[in-house]
Amino acid sequence: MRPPHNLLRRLLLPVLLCCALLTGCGVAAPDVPLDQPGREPVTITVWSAYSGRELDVFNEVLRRFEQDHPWITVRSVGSQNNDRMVAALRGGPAPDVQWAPQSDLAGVYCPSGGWRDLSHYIERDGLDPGVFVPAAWKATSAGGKRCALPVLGDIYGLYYNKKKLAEAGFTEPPRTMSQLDAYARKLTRRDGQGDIRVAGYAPLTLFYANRPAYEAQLWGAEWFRKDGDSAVSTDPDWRRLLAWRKKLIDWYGYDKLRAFTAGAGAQYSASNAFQTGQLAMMLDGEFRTAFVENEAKELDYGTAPFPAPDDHPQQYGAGAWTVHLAGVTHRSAHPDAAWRLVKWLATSPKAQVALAEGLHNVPTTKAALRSPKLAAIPHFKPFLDMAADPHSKVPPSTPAGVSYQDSMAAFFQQWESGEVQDAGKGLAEQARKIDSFLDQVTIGMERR
Amino acid sequence: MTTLPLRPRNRTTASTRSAGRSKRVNWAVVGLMAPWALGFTVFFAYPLLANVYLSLTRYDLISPATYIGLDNWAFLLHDEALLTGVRNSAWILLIGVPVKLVFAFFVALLISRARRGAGLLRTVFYLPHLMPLVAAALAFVVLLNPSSGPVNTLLSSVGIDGPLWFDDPRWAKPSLLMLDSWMVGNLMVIFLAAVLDVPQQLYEAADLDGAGKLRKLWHVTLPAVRPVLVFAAVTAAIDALQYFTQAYVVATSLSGGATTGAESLGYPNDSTLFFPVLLYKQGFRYFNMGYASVLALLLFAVSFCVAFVMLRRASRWASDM
Repeated sequence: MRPPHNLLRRLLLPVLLCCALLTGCGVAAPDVPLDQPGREPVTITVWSAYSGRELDVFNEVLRRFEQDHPWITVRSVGSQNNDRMVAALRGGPAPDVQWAPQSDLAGVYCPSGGWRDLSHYIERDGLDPGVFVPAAWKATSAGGKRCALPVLGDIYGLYYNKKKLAEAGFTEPPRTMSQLDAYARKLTRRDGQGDIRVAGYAPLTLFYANRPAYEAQLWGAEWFRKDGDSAVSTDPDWRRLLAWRKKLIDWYGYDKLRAFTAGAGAQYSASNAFQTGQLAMMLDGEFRTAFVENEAKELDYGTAPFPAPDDHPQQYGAGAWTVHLAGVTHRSAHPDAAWRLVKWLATSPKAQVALAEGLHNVPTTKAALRSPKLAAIPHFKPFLDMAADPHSKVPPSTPAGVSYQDSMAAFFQQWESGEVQDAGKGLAEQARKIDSFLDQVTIGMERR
Repeated sequence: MTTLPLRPRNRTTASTRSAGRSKRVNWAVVGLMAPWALGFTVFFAYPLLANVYLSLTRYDLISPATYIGLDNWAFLLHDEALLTGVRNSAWILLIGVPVKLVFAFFVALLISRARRGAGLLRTVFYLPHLMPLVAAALAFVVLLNPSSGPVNTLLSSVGIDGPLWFDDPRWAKPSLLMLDSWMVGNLMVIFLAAVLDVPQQLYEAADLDGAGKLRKLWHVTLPAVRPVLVFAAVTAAIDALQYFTQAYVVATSLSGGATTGAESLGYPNDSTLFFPVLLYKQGFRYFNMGYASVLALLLFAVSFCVAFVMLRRASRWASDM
């Protein structure tokens, strides 16, 4: 039986070693010209996460692009999640354009070269960055490359139940965090056993849209210092944020509040606690207006900017951004046509307004934010104003995706439950953890 | 003496014939082994070697992997989430697996003693195993909802203040264990077959010796079903080390469900951040596939060691009995 072993040694092992060495090698981009001077007919493919009605809206807008660019045919593929998008950048059938509903991904797509650097096209076409809101433009580059354009966005603000506020004697939504605290206490209703029946505002992390990613923006807390290191232990806004949350959670009683949030209806369902009247105020994105319109027509509610920290009153009016990005994949065989689509989606007023109107998302160009058509959508105007506010921010992108946000989300939960008692020490540990992980992920790369 | 020259000649002929035969036999063996070798290469050897290689690289899933030496391995010493993942997986391995095995064995024993309706009971206990894991996890999220779930409603009707189940870091793992115990139909069926297979004469002999029920269980049933118990324990331990789906579904459905980030994995307070969940997060959410490969190799080594130790222990247990 020696010969088979010899065969194994002679053939199989080298094959395996080759396979191992080949693993992880990216798929080479096709050698295609960046510019297409003529108007030869081309077909390009665009991937998005949209499905159902939203995909119909998106496809309708794409038809208008085809009318404006008759030599370009667009094939739209919906229901593509991040995992599929990343896989497509590596191998298999690749689209020409990808539409990602998360600005965090620029930190991965740009430095890796998964999406092409658009500097050439931006310069060639003289695209003025000033047409975009600053936060949206900021979200499109990472690692020294600008690989995307902002195509739409979500902005988070305050939803409040007008009827409940009026019953409690409030005529206006809260404008400061201390007011939010006072409103929340007054609006809360408990039963005989102290269980919460109606919560004024439920600040537990991971309940609905309560995420450090949004709240840091609303408190003006910085994630990273200028030198690239974590700022969570040095920026005092983080401590203020934590102290504010803990005070209100302790007033509710952690277990009581946890029981309330655990029993509340799912975030994206008709039994959402705000829509059923069990929650008087909450943080959420502009898209909630469409849910309420469809699922809780009778709800008497209002929308407003989220309250500002008491010591940063100038922050009032700002919202927390998540920007949707569109980029040209490095494997696109028709990068020029793909760029034309990305640019049109990002800058054409009719595309921006039609998408924002149909999808109930906020546009990312300054001109579209002033559209009277969008302002006419009930409860939508405050979100347009928030999007245009210069204090509105977007979370930073890193090559490790949202790891720094996850780390803080876990810490927030420990802090809220009382598992962590010393905020300063905890934040210092988080800063070390975030830095250590980003250092590990970016070995051999320029992070700072 | 005339025969002497013939011997070497004969020997040479025989050895040539033998070499020819062995060559033919070897190619036949190679041919027969080819499908297995192909499967082994594609599904085991290649991924394993690729994992080893990737563990020495920085790889973001998109750009080519860059060799960075042992830096990913060194990060194991600084990764605090790793300890959380190990702790949670150890809980499932050391508490969850024994509870599941004992429960499944207990149910099998009860059914084996049933005089009527054994078939119905067998079906009833086996059916949950046929349910898709994701659907079962979602069903338990509804059942164990602290406010509106039927379990707490029932408990409160008898004056018991039910816990927060999946929403409480102290109860999240026991709640997952309840789900797993409900789905032990596969283990129950093999235990039942083994228990029913124990020769009746052994029990009769034990009866004559005056053995009680516990002694019969310890000295007759358990030794007789030992191979099945070992098989079940090893497969359950490996499953526990790969514990992912239930934790993923429950955590994401309870913490918003539609979030595109990874912060919900491990909810609440990282109490369900099992080792494979951490691996998934690192590889597919943080684009840190080099370090995820380190974790995968570690998981492979631990699974191998656990299976090895359990099999060694089981053979000692057999010789002690």
